[in-house]
Amino acid sequence: MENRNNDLFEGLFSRLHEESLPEDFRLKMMNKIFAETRRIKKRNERFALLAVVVASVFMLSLVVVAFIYLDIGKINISLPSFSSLPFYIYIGILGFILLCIDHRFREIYKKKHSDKTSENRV
Amino acid sequence: MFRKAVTSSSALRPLYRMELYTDSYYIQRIHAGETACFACILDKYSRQVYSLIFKVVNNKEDAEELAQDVFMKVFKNLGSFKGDSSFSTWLYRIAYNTAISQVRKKKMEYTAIEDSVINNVSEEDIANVLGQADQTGQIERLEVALEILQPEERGVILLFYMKQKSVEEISEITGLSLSNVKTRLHRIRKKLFIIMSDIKRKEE
Repeated sequence: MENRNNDLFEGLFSRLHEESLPEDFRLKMMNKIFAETRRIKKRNERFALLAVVVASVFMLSLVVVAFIYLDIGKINISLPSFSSLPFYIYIGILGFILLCIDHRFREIYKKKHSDKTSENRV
Repeated sequence: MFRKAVTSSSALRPLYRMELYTDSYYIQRIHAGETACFACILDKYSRQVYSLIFKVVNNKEDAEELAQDVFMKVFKNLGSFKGDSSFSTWLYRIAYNTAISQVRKKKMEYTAIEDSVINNVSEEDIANVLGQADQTGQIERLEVALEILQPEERGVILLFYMKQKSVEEISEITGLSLSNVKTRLHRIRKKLFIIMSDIKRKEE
């Protein structure tokens, strides 16, 4: 059996017709592989998010336990005066409006730029 | 002329790359996140795997679907490949098991040959008949005889002769013991001979 050279079946099998693969097999397969990779990546992301949520809940529950059952002393928080609050709100709104304008201009610029490059390509 | 030369060299490039790197190199790169490297494994093994599955299941559509299943299993379980056997042996094990379990589901009936008939066949009988000049006719008869064999037997004999696997490798692929593989190979050869002789007799 080990001596293949004298085996007459060897010659016959070597001349058997080997079925060829469908032409799009590689493409189909790689599409499936990439889809599977994306699925695995999404699943890992979900697991990571779940782990963060579980860890956060655990930490919060530890804090609650520490405060309620371990009788940690009360914490005093001193609030600042609210006299300058309108000024801070005014600055905040101004900053937000400027940010919106900047965002809008960037969008217009990107749109114009992408139109030009696509025209050049054509 | 120049264009022709360029085309032929670019066509050879993937083959050259394939020979340059080993399977373990591609596996390492896939593990590192370069999924596109799986295409190199496909280029190297897809035809061989497909032809084996096709010969076992005898159906083009089923063979294509099963070959896709095999490569998906390979991709998903690449992490569990420890390198105890060669990558091709591991891949063929998945392909063989997938094809056999698919054929078992269909519950088809196969011709049984009595042990006494098989035991009466000697190596000389095989040599006398197969040594005859009518090679084309013998190949046609072999193809028919292969279809009559049981799928497991077909798989074992194809791994040995068509895929040039050693008895040890077939043992790893099929999960059979070494002695069992050897015995089966002997019996399948004789079975093939009996079926081929029977077909020839009917033709005459």
